[in-house]
Amino acid sequence: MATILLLQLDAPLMSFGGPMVDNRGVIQDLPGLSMFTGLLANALGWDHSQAGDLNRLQQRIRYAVRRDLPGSRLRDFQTVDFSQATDDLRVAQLVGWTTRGRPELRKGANNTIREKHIRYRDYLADALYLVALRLVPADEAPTVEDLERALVQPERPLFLGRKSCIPSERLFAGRADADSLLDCLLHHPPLQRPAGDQGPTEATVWWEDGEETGPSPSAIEAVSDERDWQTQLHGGQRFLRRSTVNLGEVHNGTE
Amino acid sequence: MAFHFLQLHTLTPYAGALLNRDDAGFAKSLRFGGTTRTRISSQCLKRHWRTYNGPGGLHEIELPESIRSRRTFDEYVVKPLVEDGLEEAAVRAVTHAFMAELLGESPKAKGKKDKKDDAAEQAAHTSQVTVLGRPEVEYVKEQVRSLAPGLGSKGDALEKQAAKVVQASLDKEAKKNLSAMTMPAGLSAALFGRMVTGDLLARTDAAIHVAHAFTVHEQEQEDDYFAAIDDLVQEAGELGSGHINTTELTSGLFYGYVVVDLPLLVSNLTGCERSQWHEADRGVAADLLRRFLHIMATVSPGAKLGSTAPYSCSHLVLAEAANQQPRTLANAFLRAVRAKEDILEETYRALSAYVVAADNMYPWQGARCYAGMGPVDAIDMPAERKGTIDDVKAWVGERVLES
Repeated sequence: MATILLLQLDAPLMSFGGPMVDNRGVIQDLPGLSMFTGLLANALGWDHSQAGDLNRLQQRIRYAVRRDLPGSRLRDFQTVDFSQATDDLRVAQLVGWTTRGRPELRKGANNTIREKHIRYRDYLADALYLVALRLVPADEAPTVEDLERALVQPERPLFLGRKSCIPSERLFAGRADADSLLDCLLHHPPLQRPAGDQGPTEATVWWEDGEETGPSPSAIEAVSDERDWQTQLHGGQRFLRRSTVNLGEVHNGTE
Repeated sequence: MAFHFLQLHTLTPYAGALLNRDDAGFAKSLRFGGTTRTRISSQCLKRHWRTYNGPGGLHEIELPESIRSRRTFDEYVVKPLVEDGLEEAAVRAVTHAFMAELLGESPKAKGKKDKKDDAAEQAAHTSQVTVLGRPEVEYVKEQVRSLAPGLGSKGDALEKQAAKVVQASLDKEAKKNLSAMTMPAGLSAALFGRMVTGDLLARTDAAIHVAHAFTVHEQEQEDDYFAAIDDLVQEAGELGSGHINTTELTSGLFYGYVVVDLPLLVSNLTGCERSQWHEADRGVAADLLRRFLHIMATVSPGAKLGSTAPYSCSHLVLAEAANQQPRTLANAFLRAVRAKEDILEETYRALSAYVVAADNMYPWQGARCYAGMGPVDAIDMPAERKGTIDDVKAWVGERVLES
């Protein structure tokens, strides 16, 4: 049974969220573990209250990434207008209701609450990624088969990082069997784009340190991309290895 | 067949405008297919569509009896609690007392209004409509669940006891919380979502996803050098202008893309569970989406209204209904369209070829229709051709209502 899920990440804009800095939404070079957890849960139709299920799914995901096209960074300038058509401070302060029985209020002095707030959100434009993903243990629900069905006909629209980042192509790119996730990526042909532009021939690959052996030389990167779905806070530390492969040398298919 | 997702694609031209700019004053842009395109951000589009209150706007929708009345609460609060074994009379009494507090019809609230006015007349006069979605309905249900078992009275005494118990359970903060729940947001909140708080369980998620719009061709821009003349200075015989600067002007054919999550929209409007959207009343959702399509195709997201008059209408509106993973058709324009003779015709060809190729690779199991202006014969794809935008709107309404 093919236990590896292949995903193609192709959208005009994608956002692989990283730790935020002040009013800047910073992004990282590769998709995070929490992003895949959220994406798959979205496809399965899970909701925010299923923290236990979400944490369990996140624990089971293992993945490796191949970046076929690096694209470019875009910093989007955004303004949020909090000014209300009211002089009533109590209304201006109100953000919304909560299930805790008290409303959430905007902090700040009277004059600052009504100002336009400026923020920046980074995006990745014109990039192309291939991901090999597996679940451990393979036979626990949801299985890779369940994920395949959910990705092809998801319960909700799927997006890559932010709601405006809808993919151009089908995310589900096939199932495969291989000794390792990296092996699977190295045997998959370069992703083609409709325009047929010849992209760079070098692709960056990332894999989990200690889980598999990859091409050398490789650099080690630390990421904190595990989300506690109960508290909604990111934490932990995972170590990834990063290297490059020549796309021209990638074998054609695994038949 | 009832489809989960509605995808709306538009091609809209704007000439000599500066629709959406960054902090440096330049038109927002996007690198795509190795070339730079002019862009209109998702949040810019959403804001103009959400706040539009001209003819055909969402604010004109008449909410049907089922949503305006207590039926939502009977169906999704009283019924499930009774099924869980709670005593019906008590549940009803507490629910009605809670709702009176929520919708401002409690004796205390009524006392504050002009005694001459009828409560119904008051409701008819308010332009803001209270629409409660699933998170709100769930919250009320749990409050009623905790308060109902304590009641022992019968008949009128039960109503009074319920009102007292509900009042006692709400301190100042809790009352503020309830009023926040009915804060003017109305129908647009069901589509565009509510302000996000730290409480995920209270969240009304937006039922639409709006992609950043961008030009199908390379950025076409011009630096407009201008001078602001001070007439008084001139009349005094002095030379020179008051201010000199340049501003950017761009022209483009923009590709726009929106996905609507139908089950979520219906849940946001009626308070039903997402999985039960087929059984719920979909009339308002259909009306809302017909209007939204019109807004998307005709309302400008533009700035610099006085100096550029950026008003335009979509030349092509393409609507798709499907259950497959929604996807943008942006890659049809990965290779920037070049205007040999007619850029609209070239764009239509590129789009058609892409849709045909995509259908070939991933068999299309949905429904599709479009209406277009100009060289429509260049559009050759498996889709129903309609004559006007009203035809496409009607088609969208039918897709929402069919089961």
